Amino acid sequence: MGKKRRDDQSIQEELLDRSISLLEGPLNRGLERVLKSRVVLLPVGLGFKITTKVLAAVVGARDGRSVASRSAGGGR
Amino acid sequence: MSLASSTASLPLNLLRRVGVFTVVPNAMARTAGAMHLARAAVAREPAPVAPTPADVIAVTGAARLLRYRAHPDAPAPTDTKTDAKTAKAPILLAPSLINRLYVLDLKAGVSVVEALTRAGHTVYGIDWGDPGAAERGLGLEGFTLRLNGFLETACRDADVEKMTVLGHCLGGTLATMLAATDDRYVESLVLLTAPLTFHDHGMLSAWGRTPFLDPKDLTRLVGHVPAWITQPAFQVLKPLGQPAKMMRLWQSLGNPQFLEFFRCLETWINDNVAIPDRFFEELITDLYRNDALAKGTLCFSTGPVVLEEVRVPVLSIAASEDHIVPAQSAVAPAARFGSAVNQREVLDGGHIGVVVGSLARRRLWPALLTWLADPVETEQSKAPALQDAP
Repeated sequence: MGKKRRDDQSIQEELLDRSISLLEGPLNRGLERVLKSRVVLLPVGLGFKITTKVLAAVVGARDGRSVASRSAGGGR
Repeated sequence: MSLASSTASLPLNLLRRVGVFTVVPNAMARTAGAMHLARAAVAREPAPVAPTPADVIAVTGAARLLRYRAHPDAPAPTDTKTDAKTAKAPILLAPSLINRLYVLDLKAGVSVVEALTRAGHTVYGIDWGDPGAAERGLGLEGFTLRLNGFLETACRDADVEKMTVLGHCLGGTLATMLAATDDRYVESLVLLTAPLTFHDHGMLSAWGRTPFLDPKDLTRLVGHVPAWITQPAFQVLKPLGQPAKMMRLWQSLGNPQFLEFFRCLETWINDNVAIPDRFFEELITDLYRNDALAKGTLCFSTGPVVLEEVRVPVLSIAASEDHIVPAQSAVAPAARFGSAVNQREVLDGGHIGVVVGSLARRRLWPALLTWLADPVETEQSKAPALQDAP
């Protein structure tokens, strides 16, 4: 059935079909394997931890400053 | 004759294969399709999603309970109390917390809701809504209780003692937790690509168990986890999915029906909601990292949540090419339910395709209607429209 369909298709359409199958099949699976390997996840996890901690500290410091400035100007 | 005709048709075949006859019509159709899409985007024309009209019958925090209006072609309603044999069983749809309900009512002709209402069932649906202050600190147990509250309201509204719950994705996980802890209002469960174990070979499972990942780091920073964080993460789950999707779009630009479906599906995919803070923390820590539901170590304030305690009839449906909830994560743990009627099926398709794809119409909807008519009969006949789980 697939062969018959391919025979009816132009070469360009068939190439497009095959490229999509390749992208969604073996190429995607290969990339998935890389993205879920510890070699990738370990630095990503560490980077995420550090980034969120730093951002939390920055946001905390900024909030603390604005609270302090509000308290300082509270009597105006 | 055959030799002469085949010799004569050879150049014709060659020209056809090169695309001489189709290149101009295809280009014209694609240009028209591209212009249609561009016009809709520029005019901000809304995609015709969620076509079934519904009324809000209860609100809790950001969440709403909807009752879909009867389909004009539906058979005349019967009194559920006096004519229990012929009355159509009502059903409550519980979608995933991080997606909109209208995946189950995507567009006219591609809608589980439409299939059910057309058959005469009263359909209720939970729209979890965008989490706000009321959802702060609400975890797995809190949302399970909220589901139970809506189920009780729906039962009262439909004038029945119990009702079937269809849980999609994480909505199915919550429905399972509810059936395991308090099944007073649960007639039966339909679990549609609902994860029950979270330790599998999928990307989401690997990411959930990323070393050093502490979900509290994120929730402390952003509160409810917004869609601009979750949306790209879901896209990367299928790393080459976006280019493949664009190529498919190019391939089908000349097909107006496909374009409308594409617009509706893209509208839904890009219409994510934030994940409530505490729910996100427990989802990652208890479910993804500790796999507490499958291991039986998940505890609510009322006691442990044990899969074996699910006693109501269950139909579990998984998708064979699901990259978000691998089929075995959905159907294998379901074998442990204590239900006398416990059917597990794997359909062809992906996580969304199984609900909105062409197979949904031919296999999922008939299976649902058969199940609602009589779960025991479905179990005995093993729903010929479905195939057995491996």
